[in-house]
Amino acid sequence: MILNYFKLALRVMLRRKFFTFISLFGISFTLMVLMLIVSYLNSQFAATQPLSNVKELVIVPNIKLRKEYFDSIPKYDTTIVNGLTKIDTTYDVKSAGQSNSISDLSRRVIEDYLFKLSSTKLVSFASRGNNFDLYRNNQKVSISVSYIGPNYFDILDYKILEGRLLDENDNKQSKHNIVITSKLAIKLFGKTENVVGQSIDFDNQDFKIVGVVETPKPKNRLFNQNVFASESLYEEGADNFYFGNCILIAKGPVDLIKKDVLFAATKIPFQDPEKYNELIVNPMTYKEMFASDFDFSEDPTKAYNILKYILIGILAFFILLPLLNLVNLNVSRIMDRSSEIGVRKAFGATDNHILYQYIFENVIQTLLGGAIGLIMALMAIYYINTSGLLNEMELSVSPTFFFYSLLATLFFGLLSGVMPAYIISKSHIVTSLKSKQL
Amino acid sequence: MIQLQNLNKVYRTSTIETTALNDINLSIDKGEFLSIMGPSGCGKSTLLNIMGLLDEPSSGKLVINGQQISDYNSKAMAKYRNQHLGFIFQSFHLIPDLSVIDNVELPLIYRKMSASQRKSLAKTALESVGLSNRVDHYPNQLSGGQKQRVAIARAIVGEPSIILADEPTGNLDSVMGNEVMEILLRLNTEKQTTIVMVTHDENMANMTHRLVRLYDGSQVQ
Repeated sequence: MILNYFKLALRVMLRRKFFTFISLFGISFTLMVLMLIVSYLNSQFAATQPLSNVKELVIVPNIKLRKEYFDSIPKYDTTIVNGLTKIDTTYDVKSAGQSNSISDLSRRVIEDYLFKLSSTKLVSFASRGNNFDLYRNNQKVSISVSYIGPNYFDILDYKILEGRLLDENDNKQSKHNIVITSKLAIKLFGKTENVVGQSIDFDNQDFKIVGVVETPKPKNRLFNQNVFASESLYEEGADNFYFGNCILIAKGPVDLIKKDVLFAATKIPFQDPEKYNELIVNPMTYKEMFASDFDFSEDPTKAYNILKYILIGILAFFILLPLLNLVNLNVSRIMDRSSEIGVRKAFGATDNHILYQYIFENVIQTLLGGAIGLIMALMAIYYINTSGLLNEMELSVSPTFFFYSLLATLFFGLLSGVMPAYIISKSHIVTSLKSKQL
Repeated sequence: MIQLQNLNKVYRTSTIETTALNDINLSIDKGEFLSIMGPSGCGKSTLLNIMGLLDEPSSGKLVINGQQISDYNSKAMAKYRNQHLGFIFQSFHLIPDLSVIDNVELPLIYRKMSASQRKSLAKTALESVGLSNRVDHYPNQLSGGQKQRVAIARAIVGEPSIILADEPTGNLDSVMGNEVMEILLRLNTEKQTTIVMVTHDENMANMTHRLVRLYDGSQVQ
């Protein structure tokens, strides 16, 4: 029966070429865009290197000290009391301003209160990238150097292409060793092999490359560097590490760590409470960090939820329009064959036989559209990745990408086929037979 | 074999009520070849559709092979049609996207039969109507007579006990019409298949065992 339906689906598509062309165009274009979205989300969020630990990852960016000043603000009004006009004064206690500092954070405080949480398996940090310009073959190459703490590469498991990662010895001995990303290796040397052992100069010092790691696909503040150096090489010394300008990362049960970080921040004793009396920390998951870049809310969880609903809304709207169009097209295509339904029912087909047959036909058509969409999406991904379009963003193609693309295709096929198939399956036999003659 | 008792069919809209069949009482025996005649709109096709479980009567009883059909749900009716009834339509109603053999196989598809078994039975049915050399053709490559012979092969492939033919020769010239009629007569004689045929042609009707005439939804002969 399946083979019969399959043959019929192909014949119908070939016989109604114009219908098929319009349907396939809509399906393949919509699915191509859906696949590009899947690819983008996959490249940003997939639990692959260096984000294999993404489900256990907590990020604490923008640590700062704060003191908020309050003031009583009088509000004057008039009121009538016993026939006389009186002045009615009320006072509102409102914030009159705040002072923030990211430079007065002491390393000891951070280490004592945020590094020693019982819920964390590993803790580390990385400074935001310090930018330098190098010149190679008369070409300017911009680098962004991040000074990293111990365990950094244990939390973010970068894929090593050559050499090794930085270790405790590099840090302890303040060796001028660095690890660079593959994209920087290509920019500097035109290759990623035999790069280890070479040196580059920046910040008036000479640094030896000990490893090359694969450039992470996600583009966000966690991955904005292309050179890694040990924290001991930090320009002002490790003891003066600039925590206000770095990202803390922790591995462990995320909800617990978030709670612990927030609680620990309230326990910190302030040396000079008159100056600062609050430590502002905002622990967040990787997804929340991604969402917080959109500035929807200061609360990362809220920001993530807002972004999620906006994306779902856009996606639903984007799918709904071509879907309705396809449903409309399918209804008229199926109605064109209503006499066939009458014949099938006369010879023993039940409503369900008809329903499944037309859903099956639609899924076959959508799978064909999905295959065309996939080819188009792969071409677009290749173009985006090689052209450096979209801010050097790299889209990924992986088994997850294929799985979700297939899922999107089947979902689209079922959704656009069920209603027309249901309508036609319920049609009356005599009415169907009397409709357009075969 | 088929018994219609006080059968009525009324079509109702919000403003009009039209009586298509009025108190029909009819008994058709096993192996009988019955023709139904009458002017256009007298209810011939409606009667045939009710006998074929394609439509439901407004009142009255339909009993086939001793079973009262009004007790059946739509799934049971579909199964009954599939196993006991065969249809031949005036305008053939072949599916244009299917080859001749695939069209003939159609009733067997809903019997969960293996593909090889279906093919074999369809070929035998096509041989019996003289079209074994047209199995891979498509309906639009056939003449009217050939199309109707394919439709007959489709009707008989499942060896139904009853064949209901709605003006099977209506769209054919006399030569082709006679060919089709010969096949139906042979089927009736050789396999004892009960046939009910709606026709406008007196000559064709005279070849059958019995003639029933309808006028304005009532049986007049």
